[in-house]
Amino acid sequence: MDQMLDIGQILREKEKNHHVTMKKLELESHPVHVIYIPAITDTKQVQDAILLPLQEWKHKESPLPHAFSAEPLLQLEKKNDVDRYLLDGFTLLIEQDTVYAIDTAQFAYRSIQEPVSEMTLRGSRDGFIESLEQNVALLRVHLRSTDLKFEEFTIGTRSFTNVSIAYIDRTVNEDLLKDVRDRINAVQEDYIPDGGVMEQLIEKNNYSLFPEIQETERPTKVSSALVEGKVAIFVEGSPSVLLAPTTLNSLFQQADDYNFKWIPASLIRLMRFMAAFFSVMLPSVYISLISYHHGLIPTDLAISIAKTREGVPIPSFMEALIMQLTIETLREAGIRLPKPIGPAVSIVGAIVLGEAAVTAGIVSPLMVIVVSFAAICSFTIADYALSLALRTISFVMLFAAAFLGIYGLILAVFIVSIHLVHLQSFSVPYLEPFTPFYVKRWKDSLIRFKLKKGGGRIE
Amino acid sequence: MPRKVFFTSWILLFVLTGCWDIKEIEDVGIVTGMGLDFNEETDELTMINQYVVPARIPTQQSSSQHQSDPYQNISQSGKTFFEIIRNNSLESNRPPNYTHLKSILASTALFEKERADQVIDLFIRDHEFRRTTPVYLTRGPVLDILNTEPAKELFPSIQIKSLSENFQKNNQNPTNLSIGDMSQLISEDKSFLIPGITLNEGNIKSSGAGIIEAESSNYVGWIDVEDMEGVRYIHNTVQGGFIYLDEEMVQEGPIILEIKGSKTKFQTKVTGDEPEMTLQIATSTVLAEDWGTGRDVYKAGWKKEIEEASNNVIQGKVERVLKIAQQEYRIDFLDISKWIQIHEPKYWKEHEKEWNEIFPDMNFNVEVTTEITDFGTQNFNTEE
Repeated sequence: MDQMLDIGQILREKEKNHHVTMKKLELESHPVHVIYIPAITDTKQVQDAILLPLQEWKHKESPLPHAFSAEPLLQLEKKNDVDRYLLDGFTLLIEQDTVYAIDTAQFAYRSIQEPVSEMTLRGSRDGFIESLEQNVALLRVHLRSTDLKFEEFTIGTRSFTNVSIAYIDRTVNEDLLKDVRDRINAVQEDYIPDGGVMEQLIEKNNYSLFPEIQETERPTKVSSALVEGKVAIFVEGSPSVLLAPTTLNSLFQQADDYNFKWIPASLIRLMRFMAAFFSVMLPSVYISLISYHHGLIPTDLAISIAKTREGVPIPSFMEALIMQLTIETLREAGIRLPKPIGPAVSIVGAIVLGEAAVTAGIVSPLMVIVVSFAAICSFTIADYALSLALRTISFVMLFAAAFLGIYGLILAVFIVSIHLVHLQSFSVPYLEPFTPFYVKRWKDSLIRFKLKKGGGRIE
Repeated sequence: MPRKVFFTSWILLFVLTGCWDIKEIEDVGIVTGMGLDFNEETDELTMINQYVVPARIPTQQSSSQHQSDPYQNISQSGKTFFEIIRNNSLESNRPPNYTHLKSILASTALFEKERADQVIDLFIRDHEFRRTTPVYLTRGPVLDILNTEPAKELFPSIQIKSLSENFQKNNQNPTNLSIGDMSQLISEDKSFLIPGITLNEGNIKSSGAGIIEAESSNYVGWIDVEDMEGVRYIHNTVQGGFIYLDEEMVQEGPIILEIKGSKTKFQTKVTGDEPEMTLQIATSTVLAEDWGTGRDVYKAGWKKEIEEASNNVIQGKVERVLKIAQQEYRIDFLDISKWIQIHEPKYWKEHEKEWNEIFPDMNFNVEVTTEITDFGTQNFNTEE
């Protein structure tokens, strides 16, 4: 890998590439090659800060670095570094056998916008963008602390990706930090397009449905996670920042919970937990009740369910499965469609599939109510990765309920619970603080207790 | 790897067995009521199952036009109840499911012929029957009552059950007797009352109770609806209801007192071999309706006369029921023995076997204290 610098080879290589600009300046004693990629370089800066000083440079006998007083000049020694710095937008200066690099990068980025996938009512509206540097700057806006430390990594074998981890010194656990570093260093991948890919490459439980690492686009979320002692992983080119470790509890927390008064905020959070439970269990409980345990339904309800089911040609399990699949399809279609036609999907879904299917007698109205309520419940789960996990599990539950009724449902709940208890994210139990049982940390779990005044942080 | 294979096959073990119990709710014949009768002609048992017909339940859109009844009564006869239930599948395409059974209505004719303990055997043995299902008794044909079009309810069987839920409003309503209570009383060798139902001009009406005698486990007699109040005081189940005092009992009547609460205390005394019992009934009432509008409720002592009249009324009712039990039937269907057993365990142990001879000659004292706590919000003619 680390070849000795072969200037001739570098020059020949770069000459072939049409997107690389190479200028040869004749100094008194020897030529200086200036190499940069115009697409990612601030050409005005190259002109003003490199080419002009070089042309006007009087003391041509002294070494090159003296030509630039303002810009830091790096001397490169490895072949790999040459390519990397060039691709990072640096301008290379080649003087005889030495290669210098000056930062002249100017990549094309979008401006800072509110993250589309994480909406809040109150609180900051800025979201991360694709620039690592900008993201770090954004985090610095929200978290002004000298203890905020960054560490840089470069990974990828074919395309270099800059990855940076952020943590707060003296707050973060050293073992966690070491674990994160090791996992990032162990990544061997050609190309990392996004934080989501990075997440899968560094997590341990690849067969688990639950996200081991939380992903967010909100700087405030990252800064409060860092204050709690977590580690944030920034990936160049991705607006999603990864937070480790993650617990099930933290996936349910929302910025709004803290920005509003604690009693209503707690009630809303409780409701969110319940909604998540309903979204998983409701269709399957309904199935098991109406196809196995009729005696558990109140008589009046049982009679009216029997009435609505009258004439429905398919068994209730198939009915539920079809409705669930329809809703998943609608949801997927809604995401993929361009924004102007997006609402059309919901109209088609609600009127054509819901209303007409009931009128035609293919599904019972109660099933539509149950399945759509479960779907609405699942919309309250803000974390999309968790929502995907729970939706998958709800299908498993549906099968369990259809095969064995409540008994099967309880078996399935046991299996999921066993898995959750077993699961760890960076050595932190996934169900903390419920199991293991830390009463003190319950203050910010099901209920968010009031903030401590006088500088205390939520423990 | 072997662990994964093991785990997968373990899961499959549960999953692949599944589905055998599946029964969609619309394929189940929901039975809300059951009638038990005796067929004199064939000398066989008769069972009537009241099935729900979901398709005929009126919806909000179609409630205007009159539809046929949302239930179907299938009446069949046979030697045993289980046999009849299974023979239902000859007539009904949906097998009966008894988890929603709301009431069991038996006829006195059945309990005259068959022992009660034998009749309810299936209902306490089978797991599908709930122990909380209430039992009722009727002197007329059972099918007639189950065919009556109910008011305010969709099913006659549910109408029957809802009537007994009014026991807090009227003391003539009997309290529920579930099949579980019945099995308990039978195994304790006690006589008891089963709430009665009659048809009154085409309407289902709660009326009195039938007496089941312990030893023969048969129906022996009927307590009329007027006497139910006394029973309720002795059973200590009075929570509401009213006391009617006519003009003969109070000046300027009649007066209605609404009962707010009542408690009956039992005190037993054994002198030699003679048990004696005092019933202390404390009733708290308010003045509910007064036809003697000249009464001045702001004058102290206005309620003394009324309270005394009320004491006499309650005492008369209780003593009348005791007299029926002691003299007419000579059996203890009022569960008096419970108090002897609790208060005089030694005496009870010695004389348990002779209870039927002791009870008819037992001495009862009834002491009633009525208290009027309130006279309502307004009063006429308080001459100022």
